[in-house]
Amino acid sequence: MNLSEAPLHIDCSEELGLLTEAATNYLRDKSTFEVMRKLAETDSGYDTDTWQELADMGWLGLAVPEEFGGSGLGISELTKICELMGRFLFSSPFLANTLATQVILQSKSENHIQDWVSDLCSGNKIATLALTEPNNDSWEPTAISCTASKNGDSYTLSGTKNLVLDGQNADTIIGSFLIDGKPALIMLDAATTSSLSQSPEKLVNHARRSTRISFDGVQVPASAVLATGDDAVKVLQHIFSLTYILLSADMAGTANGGMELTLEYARVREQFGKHIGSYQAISHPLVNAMLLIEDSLSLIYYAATVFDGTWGGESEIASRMAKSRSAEAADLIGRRAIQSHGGMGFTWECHAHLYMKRGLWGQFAYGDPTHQRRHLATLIID
Amino acid sequence: MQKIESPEHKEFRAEVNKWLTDNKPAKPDFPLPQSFTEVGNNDQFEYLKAWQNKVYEAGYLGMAWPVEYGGRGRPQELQDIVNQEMLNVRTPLMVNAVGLSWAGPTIMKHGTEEQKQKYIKPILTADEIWCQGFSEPGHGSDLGNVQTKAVRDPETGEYVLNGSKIWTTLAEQAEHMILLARTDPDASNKYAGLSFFLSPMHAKGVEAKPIYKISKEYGFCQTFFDDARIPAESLMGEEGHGWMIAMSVLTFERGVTGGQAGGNLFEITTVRDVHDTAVDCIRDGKPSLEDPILRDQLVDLYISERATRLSKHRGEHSALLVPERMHGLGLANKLVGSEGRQGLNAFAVRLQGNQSQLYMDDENAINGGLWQHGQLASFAGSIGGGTSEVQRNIIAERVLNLPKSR
Repeated sequence: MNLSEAPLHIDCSEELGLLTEAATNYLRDKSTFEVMRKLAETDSGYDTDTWQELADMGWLGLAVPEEFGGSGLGISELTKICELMGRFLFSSPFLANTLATQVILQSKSENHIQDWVSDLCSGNKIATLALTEPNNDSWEPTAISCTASKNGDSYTLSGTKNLVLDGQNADTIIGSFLIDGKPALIMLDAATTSSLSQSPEKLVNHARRSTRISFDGVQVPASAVLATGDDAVKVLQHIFSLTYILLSADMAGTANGGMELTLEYARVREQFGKHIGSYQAISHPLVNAMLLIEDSLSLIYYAATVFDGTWGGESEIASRMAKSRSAEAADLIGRRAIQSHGGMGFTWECHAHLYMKRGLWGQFAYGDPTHQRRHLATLIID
Repeated sequence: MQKIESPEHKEFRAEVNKWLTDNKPAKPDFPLPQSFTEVGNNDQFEYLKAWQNKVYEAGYLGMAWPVEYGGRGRPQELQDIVNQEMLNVRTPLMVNAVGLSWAGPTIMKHGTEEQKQKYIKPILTADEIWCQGFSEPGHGSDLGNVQTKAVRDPETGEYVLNGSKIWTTLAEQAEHMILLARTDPDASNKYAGLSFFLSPMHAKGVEAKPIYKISKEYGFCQTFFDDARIPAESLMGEEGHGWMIAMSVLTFERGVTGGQAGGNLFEITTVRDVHDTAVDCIRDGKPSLEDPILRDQLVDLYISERATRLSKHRGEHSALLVPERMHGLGLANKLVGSEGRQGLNAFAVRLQGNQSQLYMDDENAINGGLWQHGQLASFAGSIGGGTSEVQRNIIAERVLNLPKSR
């Protein structure tokens, strides 16, 4: 298909501006280096009081319709919050919970919506998604080998998922399985979840938690099935595109944070009698990084504006473009942050590595730039 | 950023599109320049001049400039629509680029009423072409160091010019030059001794000598001043204010500030154009577009092109800017645009496999060697108007607030 040549637009409502200001102030205050470094040493990786505050501010249901207990805002607002969480290295199950909530809404399964969504918005419960698998090491939503076999009134699950975000914090897990060879989404309730065989993973990013889960032999009732067949595929595609955008926002925000840290240092650190920021070997790569960050933000805001969750058109293209470019931005500034700090940048004490690690994680979650461009090539060139 | 175009704007867009389509001149039997810096002969010049005049007479140029100086006094949004449609319809470029895009806006900002009355309308009609006398053989990026002298004759009030300017695009066709010259060699600092002139090209002692570029085409000159006398009223602003006005010129030239008359100064090549070329290219015995690395690079160019368009809009509409650097996007326009064009041309050449080696005038060259030529010509963008290195210094200092590099 030919890319749209039409004038491009970006949502920038007044509400979005107000939310941005409030969220910036809140996160700057809450997510100090000291707090985030302490959380990095904990098993859960988040602070329950802060989590409840997010719920009280309406962030946990930001893009959830008011009738289901949410704030009724849109994807642009959600994207902005994720950007700011990256900017201040905020650590919490926000991404996992938000994406899982969107899966429940998209599945249109009324029972599940009634039973879960308001609890997920209010902070009473936490949900996550189990979509990737160690077996096929694929970034595609339908590359599923875990199975669910019908067994009377229930299903018997088998297979292993990995990189389940906040699996250790979740009250419920929604996984992708094959039923009779076709994709399906199955939601494990709290009781089942607590008996699962989960092992925490060690991630490069200290601000994230994930687990590896074996589902072998787990029994779930038929009512646990959220969506099957084409419906399940559509929900998966929707959620993958949304994930690209939110991860991109997290990375662009992280990159902005790393940029500010590095600029502050380059303005004051002196070598050979001059501030290092006056040397073009330091400043020009930072200009390049700034341009990559600005490109990323433009692509991200646009992708959020045109997001409709479908694949094969503008929404998918925009979200993959955002993911490709943001990962490059985060990668470049992560490296420059460490390098520009010299010997200090190589130490645990210096904050530069926190940005690089968060960027690295985001880059490889749900498809790196090469992967995204390969899919874009199929969409744009063939 | 309007989500939906208003019905009035939509209607206007359709009207403009129709006029441009109906009035676009037939392709001449000589190659047209891809940029205003490449006008190499009189045929090209006359063809482009006639087109600019026609667009002006139709009311589609200088739309947002004041009526009293020859503009149309209409909203900038309408000119923006015209500019977009010119790109869509692929009409020829505006030859009086310096006049329309930076000399004209600068005169309107800093000129006297008399100067505005005298100069603005002929810029729009293309009756009087403008060129720019900033760089000198000894001072390009270091513009504050210009040495061309303008000495005031106390008897007549005239200024006597001596020295030389270089890279003067359209000097042979131009009626006027925006000129930065030194009126006070003993000023307290190098900037304070500079003054700004609207200087006639057809004066005794002014001579423009064409320079061959790497493409072996003409397009710019070295301009020599040998006791050239120009009238007192050529001075714009006061003596010693030249640097301030020159900086103002550069913000227009680099697209940091709006206010240009309109129209495109380059033949815009899009990634789609390169893609269309790629469809017919063979590399290593296979269609180039089957090569996974070239596919990856082509997609990356599409991403860059879209990001550039979006960032430009974001900058112009102040949409969701990073609070620490509210003005970064405008200052980056020139750098991003010129390096983008360079990358695009280089990729288009790379696609062609063995054919990449051919150049213009070879009958077998793909697209007549257009991309090979474009690759060479693209250095005009990354060097002219302040090199990419200077642009990065400017962004580092003014946007990232890093200490000065000098």
